[in-house]
Amino acid sequence: MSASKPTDSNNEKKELQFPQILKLDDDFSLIQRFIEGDETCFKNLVHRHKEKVRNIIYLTLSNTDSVDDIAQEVFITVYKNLKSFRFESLFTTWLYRITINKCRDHIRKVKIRGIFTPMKEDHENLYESQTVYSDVPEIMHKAIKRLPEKLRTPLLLKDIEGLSYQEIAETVQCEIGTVKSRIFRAREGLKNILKPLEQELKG
Amino acid sequence: MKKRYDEIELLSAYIDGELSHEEEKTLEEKIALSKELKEKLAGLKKLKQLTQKAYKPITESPYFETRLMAEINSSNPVFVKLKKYSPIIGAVFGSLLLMIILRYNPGLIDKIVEEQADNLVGYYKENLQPLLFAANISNEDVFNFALNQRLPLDEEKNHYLLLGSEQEGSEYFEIKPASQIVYEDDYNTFVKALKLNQKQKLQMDSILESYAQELETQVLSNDKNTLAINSNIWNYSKAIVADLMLFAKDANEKEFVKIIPGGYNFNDNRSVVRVVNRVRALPDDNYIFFTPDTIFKENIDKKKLKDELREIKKQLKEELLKAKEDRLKTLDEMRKTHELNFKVFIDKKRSSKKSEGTDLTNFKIMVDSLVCRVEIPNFEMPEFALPDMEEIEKEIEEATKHLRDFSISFGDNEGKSGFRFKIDSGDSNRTFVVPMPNIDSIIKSQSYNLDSAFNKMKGFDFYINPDSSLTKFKMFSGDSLLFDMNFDFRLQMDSLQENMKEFQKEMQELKKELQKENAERELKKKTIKKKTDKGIEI
Repeated sequence: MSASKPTDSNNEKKELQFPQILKLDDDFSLIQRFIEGDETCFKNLVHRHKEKVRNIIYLTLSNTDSVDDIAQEVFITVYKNLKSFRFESLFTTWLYRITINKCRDHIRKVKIRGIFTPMKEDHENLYESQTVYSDVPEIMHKAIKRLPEKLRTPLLLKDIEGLSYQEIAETVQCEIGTVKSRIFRAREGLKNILKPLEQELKG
Repeated sequence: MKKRYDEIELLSAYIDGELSHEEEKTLEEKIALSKELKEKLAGLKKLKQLTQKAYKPITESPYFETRLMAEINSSNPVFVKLKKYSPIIGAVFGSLLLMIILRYNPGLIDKIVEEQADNLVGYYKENLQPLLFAANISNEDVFNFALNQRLPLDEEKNHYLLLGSEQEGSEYFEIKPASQIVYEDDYNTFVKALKLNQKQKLQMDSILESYAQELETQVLSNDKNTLAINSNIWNYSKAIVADLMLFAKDANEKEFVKIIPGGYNFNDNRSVVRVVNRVRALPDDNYIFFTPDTIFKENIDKKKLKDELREIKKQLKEELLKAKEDRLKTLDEMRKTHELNFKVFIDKKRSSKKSEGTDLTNFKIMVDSLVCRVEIPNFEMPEFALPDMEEIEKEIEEATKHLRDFSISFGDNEGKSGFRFKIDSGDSNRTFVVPMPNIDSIIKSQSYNLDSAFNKMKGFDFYINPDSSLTKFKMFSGDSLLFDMNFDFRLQMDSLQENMKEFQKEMQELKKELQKENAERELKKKTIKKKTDKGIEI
């Protein structure tokens, strides 16, 4: 925002013609140009946001297996629906909402598949609970993975992606109060999971 | 408790920087005062730090955009729609194509089916070998075939082929292991009973041998589990019986009458000759094939088959002579080597014609661990004249003389539709079923069908239970001296006969009464008619 100040003073006349909100987000101008027929703008948008999207997918799923596939699906959905974008909220909020929804679809599919192969998953869990980890980030990673998706996603969007409660609320489509309490409950849950491993964490 | 919980929740929002300025201020004041809150705050901060370190950013994907753009370009809306409806479009085009093809070539499917059927038939017809030739049937076996309708299927006589007919008139055959069959020396009993001399015995043997040659080619089989049975085989058993009876009658009429009391109705030689000729003249090359997949009827070039068989026999004889000289090979070994080279020629001209007459769809096949039984519907064969009622009575009377144990049972339920005689003689039994029209209902309904009812009574059917255990009781089940006379049962039979006669008399009286009644009614009708005629005149 600080970078936009000099342009403000230089082109006062021109600026009045654009809606105020466009100043806040360069994405809007790209989308506008895309709607007007400039297909290269979409490539630009992808370039700007792909890593964030991939990261959010990684955080939500807690594994890297299908990250790229889901990210592809996200951007294809964006491409198909971008022309009807209404400029009412930030592009990122819309993008992250699509991302989270795609992730949830994926988790649902995996769960259904899991019904048909229950033995394998049980075996994996058994293996995990018995393993001793020495690496602190790894312990944390496994602990967070054990949280339910509803609590895990807001926590990671906050602590890792640095989104505000408001943004998280819009992304996961719930009230701001709910986000607040979910993050709190996620932290309480983590504490409980980590209690038996306190010694290792201190080390 | 609730308050503290809220405070900790506030702490969580506090470290995230999500509290309003005022909330922050009040919370900071509280933290300054409370050691516990301080500790909690420190704990939460530590947790947040650890969480931030838990996920390392994932490596970049260099070809992400290229792949995405390729995907977007390929998902052209028209193409996507086409892809979505491709199964429907395919099905429509497919059926249209089929309709066009069938429009101009309506016999296509039939042709394909026929071709496949031909292929299947060809497959199952390969390497057919005469099973009974391999079984090396003896004169005694032929004799048993005529009487008991059973033939050994292998040389060790482990399995037998049994023929028979159901009460409904359908034919069947069974394959049973030897353990299921009561073996009896019927051949020798027959020779003894007729008191045949050496010359006569030779004569009989030659008759049997001629049939043995015929029978050799009646059952074929191959390594594909195919069993082909000549549809004429049922007739052969009857023809042999007829031939034998004729021979027996000629040989020793006195003894013959003794052992065949009512007997088959072969009073004149011509009828027997006619039957035998008829059986021999029947188309002999039609076989019913039983395969694991299907049942079908096909013609086989019988002449070539017989020629080949003759050739093999000749060779066998020669080799046997040689072997006798060499004393190296056994007969069995030779037989085996020859069977492998045996070929059956199919009469292609005839087999291309579709089989007519016999309906091959209603086969009933029953298989259990011991018996395989196949019922063949609508089978045509020459019928022999069955004895009439009086002769049956005679036969029963005579039969009782030969039986140790004899009982008659009238089932309660059977009485209405007919009645059943069951003759027990130790471990074997014999059943006669006499179907009867329901007389009660005829009388009740005042129907005038009594004449036809009597006709039915006269021409009643006579069945023999086609069980293999029956072999004990046959038309000449040995010397009459072998059996004790059972006086009680004879008396019972006599009373039964009397009852039958009385019943017949009653029925005849009833008939007369009905006729009388009928005549009266006719008379009445006429008078009424006259009256009504008059009425009309007025």
